[in-house]
Amino acid sequence: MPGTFSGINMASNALRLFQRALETTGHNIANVNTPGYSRQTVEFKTQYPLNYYSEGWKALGQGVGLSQIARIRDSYLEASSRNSAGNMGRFETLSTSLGQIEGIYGEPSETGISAALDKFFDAWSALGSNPNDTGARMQVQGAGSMLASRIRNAFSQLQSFGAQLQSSATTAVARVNELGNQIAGLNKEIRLFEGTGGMPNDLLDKRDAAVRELSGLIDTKVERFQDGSYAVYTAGHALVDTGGSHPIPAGSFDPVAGTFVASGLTYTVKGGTLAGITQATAQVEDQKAQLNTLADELREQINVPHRTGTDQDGNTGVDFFNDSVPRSGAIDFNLSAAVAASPRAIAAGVTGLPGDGGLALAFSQMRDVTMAALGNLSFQDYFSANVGQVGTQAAYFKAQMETETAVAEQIANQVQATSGVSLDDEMAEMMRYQRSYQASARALTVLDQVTEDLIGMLRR
Amino acid sequence: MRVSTGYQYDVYNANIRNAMSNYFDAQKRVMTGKRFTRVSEDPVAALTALGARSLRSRLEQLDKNLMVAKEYTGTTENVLDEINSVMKRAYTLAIQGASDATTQESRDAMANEIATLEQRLVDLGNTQGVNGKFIFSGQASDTKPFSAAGGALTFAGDTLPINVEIRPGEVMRANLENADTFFDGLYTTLETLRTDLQGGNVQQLSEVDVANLRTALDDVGAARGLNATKLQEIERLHSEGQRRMDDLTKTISDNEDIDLTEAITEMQMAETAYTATLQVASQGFRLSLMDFLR
Repeated sequence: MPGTFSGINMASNALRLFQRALETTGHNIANVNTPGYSRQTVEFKTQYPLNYYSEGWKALGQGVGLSQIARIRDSYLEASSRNSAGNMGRFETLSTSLGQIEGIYGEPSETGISAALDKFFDAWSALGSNPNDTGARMQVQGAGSMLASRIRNAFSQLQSFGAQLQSSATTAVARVNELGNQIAGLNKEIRLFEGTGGMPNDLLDKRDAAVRELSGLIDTKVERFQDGSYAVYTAGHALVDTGGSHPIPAGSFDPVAGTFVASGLTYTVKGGTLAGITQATAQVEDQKAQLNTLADELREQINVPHRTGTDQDGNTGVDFFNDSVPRSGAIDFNLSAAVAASPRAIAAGVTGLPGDGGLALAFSQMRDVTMAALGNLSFQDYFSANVGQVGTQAAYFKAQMETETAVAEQIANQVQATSGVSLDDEMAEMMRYQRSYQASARALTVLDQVTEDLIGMLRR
Repeated sequence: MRVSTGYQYDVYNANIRNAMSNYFDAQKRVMTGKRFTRVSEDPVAALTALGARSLRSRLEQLDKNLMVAKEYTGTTENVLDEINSVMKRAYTLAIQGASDATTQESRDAMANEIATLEQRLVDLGNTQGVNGKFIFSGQASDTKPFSAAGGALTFAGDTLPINVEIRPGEVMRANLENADTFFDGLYTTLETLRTDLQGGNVQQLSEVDVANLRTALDDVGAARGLNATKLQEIERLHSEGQRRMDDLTKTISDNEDIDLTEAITEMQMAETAYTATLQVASQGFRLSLMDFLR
C-alpha cells in the first residue's frame, strides 16, 4: 500500500524539478550571446513506480525524476567546424599577406617600380638622342635614382612585413601554448566531474571552444578518452595528454621551414594560421629574391657597359649603380657615389665625344633585350610577370578565403541550428515550466487539502 | 530548420555587412572612375593596362626624341637653303664674269663679293644649334668645325653620326652626312671662281667655273632633298606616334576605367539592396514572442 504522504512527496518533487527546468531556461537565455555556448535542456524521466498488491499487482506512478541536464551538441559538426577553422586561419593569413605584398608594389600606378623602369629607359633614350643636353643627363640621373629607391623601398617594406609575420608567428605559438594549458586545466576539472557521473556542460563548451580556436592556429587532432578528457595533437605533437600540457618551446617555430622542434623531434605545421604564416613568409622571401635579382641584373647590364664609357669629365670605369663583389641585392640599391654626386659622371658614349650617345642608346634598347638571369625575360616583362603573379595569387587566396568563409558560415549555421539559443523557444519553454510548476503547486494544495480532511475526520 | 536567436542576428548582420560593402564598392568605382585599384581585382586587365602604359611612356619619349631630330634636320634645312642662295649668287656672278663685255674692274668687284660669299659659307658651316652645339661637326659637337685660311678650308670635327632613337630600337642619323667633303667642295668651287675672276681668266670662267657651280648647285639640291626626306619621315612618325598614343590611352581606359552610366546604375542597385536589407532586418529585430506574452 502506498503511504499517506506519498502524493505530497511526489508533488513537491515535481515542484523542485520544474524550478530546475526554469533555472536552466534562465541559464540559456542569459547565455544567448555567449560564443561557443550550447543550449541545455532538462531531461525528465518517470520515477520507479511503487508496486503493491491489491487484487493483483498494481504499479503506482511516483511522479517525475531528473534524468540529466544535457547540452545539445552535434559531435560531427564539432569536427567539421574544427577543420574549417584550420582552413580559415590559413587562407585568411595568406589572403591578407598577399594583399599586403600587392600593396607594397602598388601596381598599376605612376608611382610603382614598373613606371620607374619605363622612365629609366626613356631617360636613356632621351640622353642617347641628345647626348650633350644637361637636361637629358639630369633626367637619367633622376630616373636612375627613382628606380633604385623604389626597388630599395619595396625591398625594405617586404623585409619589415616579413618581420611582422615572424612576430605574429611568435604570438600564435604563445596562444597555442596558452590554449594547451587551458585545455589541460579543463581536462582535469571535467575528469573529476564525470567521475561522479555528472555532465559539466559549461566546462565542455569552454573546452570545445578552446580546441576550435586552437585548430584555427595550427592543424589539430583531438582524441577523447573514456574519462572525458581530451588528448590534443598539434601538427602531430602531443600538446595535451592525460599528463597535462606540453607547450611548444618558445622560439622553436621556424616560419621559413614551417617546423618546430619539441623534445628533440621536428614537427611540420600543415594547417591554421601558422601554416598560412609559413606560406606567406615563403612568398615574401620569393619576392625579396626577385627584387634582388632585378637589382643585381640592372647592375650587371648597366654598370659593365657603363664602365667602358667616358663621362663628361673624361673619366672611364665609372659605375652607374653602386656595385660590389659579390653584389648586395636590392637592400642598398642606389646610384654610384659618382653619379649621385653629379650627372656629369654619366657616360653617354664610349668615346666621350659630346655628341656620342651610343651607350645611352644601347641602354635604351636594352629594355627589349631578354636576360638569361631573368628567365629570358626583359626587365619590364620580368617585373610585370612578377606583379601579375602576386595579383593572381592574391586573387586566388581571396577566393579561397571567401569559399572557406562560406563553408564556415554554413557549419556555424548548422551548429547554431542545433546548439544555438532561440529566445522564442526559451520563452515558450519558460511558459511551459511555469504552467507545470503552477499545476504541481495546485496538486500539492489539493493533496494537502485531502490530508487535512483526513486529519479533521480523525479528530471528530 | 530551427533558427536560434544568435543565428538570426548573425545572418542579419552578415547581410547588412555584405550589402554595405557592395554599396561601398560601387560608390568607390563611381568616385575614382576606376574599375579596380589592385592587380588582384582583375589581373588580366591590370597587366594589359600595365603593358599599354609602358608602351605609351616609351612612345612619349620617342616623340620627344623626334623633336631633337627635328631640331637638327630643321636647322640643316635652313642652312642648306642659305647655301643654295649663296651658290646661286656665285653662279650668276660666274656667268657675268665669263662675259667678254665685263671689265676687269667689275670682275675684281665680283671677286670681292665671292670672298664675302666664302666667308658666309664658312659661317653657315659653323651654325650652332640649341646649347651652342655645332650641328656640322659630328659627335665633336663642341668643336668649331670649319676655318678658312690661305684659300683652303680646314675641318676640325668628325663625320660620326648623331643618332636619334625615333622608333623602338631604330635610330636615324640626324646630322648631315659627309659634311667635310660637302663644304670643302663648295668652298673650293668658290675659291677657284674667285681666283679666276681676279686673274680675268675668261676661258676658264666660261668653260670650267660655270659648270662647276652648276654641279655644286646640284649637290646642294641633292643634300636638301635627302634632308627633306628625313623631315618628312619625322613628321610622319610624329603623327603616327600621336595616333598610337591615343590608341594606347584608349586601351588603358578600356581596361581601367568604368563606364559611368553602368557604374551609377550598379550603385543604385546596390543602394536599393542595402535599403531593403536594412528594412528587413529592422522588422525582424522587432519581432519577439515576448511581445505577445502577458
